[in-house]
Amino acid sequence: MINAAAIILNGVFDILLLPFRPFPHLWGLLFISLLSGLGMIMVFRLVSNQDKISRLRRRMGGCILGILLHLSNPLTVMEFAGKLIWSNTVYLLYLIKPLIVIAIPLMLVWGQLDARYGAAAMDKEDPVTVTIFYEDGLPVRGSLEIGVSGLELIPPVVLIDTLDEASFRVLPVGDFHRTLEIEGVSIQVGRTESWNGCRILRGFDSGSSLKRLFCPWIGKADKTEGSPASGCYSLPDVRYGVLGGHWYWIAVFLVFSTLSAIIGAKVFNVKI
Amino acid sequence: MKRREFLKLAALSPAALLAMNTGCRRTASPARRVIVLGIDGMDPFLLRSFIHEGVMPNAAILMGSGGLNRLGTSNPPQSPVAWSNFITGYGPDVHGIFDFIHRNPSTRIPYLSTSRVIGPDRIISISDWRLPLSGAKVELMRKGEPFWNRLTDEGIPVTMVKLPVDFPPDRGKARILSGLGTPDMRGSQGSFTFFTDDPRSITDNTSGGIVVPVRDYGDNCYVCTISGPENSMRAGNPVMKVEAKVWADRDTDALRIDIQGTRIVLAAGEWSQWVRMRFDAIPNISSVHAIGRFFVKEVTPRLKLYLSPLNIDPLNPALPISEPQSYSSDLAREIGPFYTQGFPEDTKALSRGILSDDEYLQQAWIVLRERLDLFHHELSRFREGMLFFYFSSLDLNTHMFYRVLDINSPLHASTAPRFKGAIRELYRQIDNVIGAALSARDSNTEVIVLSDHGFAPFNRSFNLNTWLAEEGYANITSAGARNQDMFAAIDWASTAAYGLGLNCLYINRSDREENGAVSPEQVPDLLLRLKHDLESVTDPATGRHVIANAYITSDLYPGPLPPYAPDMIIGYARCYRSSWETTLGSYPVGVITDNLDPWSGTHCVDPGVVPGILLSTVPLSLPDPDLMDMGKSISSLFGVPVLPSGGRDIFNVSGS
Repeated sequence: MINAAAIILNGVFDILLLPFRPFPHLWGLLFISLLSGLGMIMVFRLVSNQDKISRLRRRMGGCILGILLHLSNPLTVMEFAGKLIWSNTVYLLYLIKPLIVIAIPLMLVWGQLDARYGAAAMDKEDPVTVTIFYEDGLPVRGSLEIGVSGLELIPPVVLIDTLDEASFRVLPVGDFHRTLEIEGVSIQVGRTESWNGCRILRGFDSGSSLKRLFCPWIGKADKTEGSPASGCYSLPDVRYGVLGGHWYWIAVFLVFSTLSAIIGAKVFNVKI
Repeated sequence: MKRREFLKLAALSPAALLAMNTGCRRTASPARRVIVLGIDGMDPFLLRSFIHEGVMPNAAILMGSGGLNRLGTSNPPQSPVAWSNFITGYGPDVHGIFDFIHRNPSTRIPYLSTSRVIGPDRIISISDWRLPLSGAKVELMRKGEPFWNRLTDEGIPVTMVKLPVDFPPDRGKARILSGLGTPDMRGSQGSFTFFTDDPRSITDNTSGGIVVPVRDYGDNCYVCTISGPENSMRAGNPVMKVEAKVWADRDTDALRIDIQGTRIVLAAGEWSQWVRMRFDAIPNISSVHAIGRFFVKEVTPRLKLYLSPLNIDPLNPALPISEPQSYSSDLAREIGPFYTQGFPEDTKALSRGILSDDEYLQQAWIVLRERLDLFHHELSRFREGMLFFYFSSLDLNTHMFYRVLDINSPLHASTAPRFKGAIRELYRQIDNVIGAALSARDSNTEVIVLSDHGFAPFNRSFNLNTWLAEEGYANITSAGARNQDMFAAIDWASTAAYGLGLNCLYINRSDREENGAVSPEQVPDLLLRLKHDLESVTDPATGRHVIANAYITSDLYPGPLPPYAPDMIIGYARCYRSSWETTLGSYPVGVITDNLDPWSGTHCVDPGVVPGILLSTVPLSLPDPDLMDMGKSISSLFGVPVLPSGGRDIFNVSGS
């Protein structure tokens, strides 16, 4: 069920970003950010009680006006200030429901964007460090078998007994999908192609599917006896040139989704 | 107007505008292009030899066009001085750079001559936090107007890549990436870090870098603390630190470095790719970024892990290294991170014995490969104007490996024969660069290759300060402090002169220096006597003169001089140079000693000994070209109406 949800979600984002493939990566990121802001404001409109928020906003405006008009009378100012604080508290309570409703989709979008715009794809000239984590102890040195397809394994394999971890480097070769095979378990590593919106795997996990739903940069791996529980690939972060700065995807998303939400609220007359 | 006529007019308008626009260009011919390759330290003698050997076929082609000319260098012939001559068209009296090191005339405290950091004007202190209300500034100490301003004023695009003595870069319309003179993140010209648990390697010697003792407590894990820049936001400016965990796998002689979420696997003998590090001044609020390369010298039996000087991250520079500021980050995004420090080769690590010849050369090749990538990237998009590209590799590697060329070097016999081809191979690589520039040439493109100076062997060190003391010009009162820097050994009240920097000598003037001993009226006679005495010094081991010329600065540069200018510039004879101890004011025993440092080549001698080279597709119309002529000459190739004022036009293409 969760696996199916993850596949559908990945597919939805693949389709949404399909038109942006030939364009710079920032375009796809901006599109999803603007769409998310707009989506969130519409959800807010549907879920929140717009009448109550509207009344509350008017009341709060009245309190501020009252304070400004009675500045010479401290008691009245304090009375209005108290009312204002109370109205603010009520306002925050009104926000809880829409925020809860928005939280899950936001986390899903967040995960999808992180998977697609958070890290650079493998580079054919820079080796990637793969680290694999064991739950039930490291295999005996010499018995660890690592197979590769579409990759070149660069020795040595460093075993760290204290952490139950093993690390090694791989370098992409050729232009096809790349897999690792550890103790008979096949693990998808990722691509060197990085078209706009391409999901870039940064690790694998043999555990729950729920994790992979919210963290789509984690690939699936089967768990067999002696195989690692999870792993990660050291891929560099990506930054985007926006307004003369170099922004992480998170900054782009937060700024442009907020901007789009504010504009959406104006256009669709949503009270926030 | 009828609809059909309107449509016809509308269709024709863009074409007409386009035609008008084309007509506005200065000429209908393709844009003028000049490629200038600045090859630091390319020596005319070595170049000629390699051309004759057939190692440099592309240089031979250039030699056929404009000849191989000796290019007059600066006095003193040090790179910061020479490149400032090139940039401004004037000598040190105008641009103000006399040596790598200047000193405060009053306190005699030395400082780097090319740039300085000025702290913020106002600071709010809250507990031990210090919050600046204005930003700190870095000031370029070189004066004078760069010649390319005449080009950019005429709308000619100018790109200067790794330009020496231009940190921070000149503000203007030119695109500039700073080169020589750009510090590392610790503010030095290159300070390495070496982590080891080998007690034999752990010393208190901090020259060139720091050795950090680390220990494995049985879990094969070493906690290595990397010291970065000072934190100006905390009282006392403590050093910012980043922790790296190094896990050793002694069975495979390899290790894994975990640093700020990145894992790096390296086997013994391997260099890492660039590793990004973030030093937090205020956690999550203010941080600076650096890049460094690890080298695993040894894992078993002892950990020996080298970390290169921390370079300013070009993607997110903590200091201004390019103009416009986005230029360095754009380059880093396009070709990846690159060395930003002015001296990218880790020469100090070789001199200290931290890196072997082999290991140093590996790093030097990494630098050169990276520089070649940058060059090809810029060349591929060069369409119009001037492209200047600077290479440091010949200079620094000839410094380190001159001992293989010179059989009289005290280290010649002990250097492995396999390094004897290293300098030839470097010249071959530079020839490939010249070849690439020639391939990019069309009928409207000129290629100029120049160097700031040549090279000479550095076999014998001259302890200038010791000589001054032995001849009675300085008075050593604390014999135990002879080897300490900053003149700790002497009594200023009875000292007439002192040496500081590589070629500079100063009179201890009573009207300038604190506790100065020489009155202004005594100075001219004292200088004449010093000149005579210095030019008479002979090496007891060889009977040869040590100093070819001792120049009185006011004779050499008759105009007004800045107060920090030296009183005398020492032009050493071939094979001699001031000792390292002289440069920072110490008084070791013995006036002339063998130079046992791998830094075995020099150009800090008499300028007549080490001219630079000039190769060009444009024939010269004047003899004896000089670095100061180059700005005017290059500008004249573009036909700009007002040429820079300094120097001569040696190409004289207009025939005026």
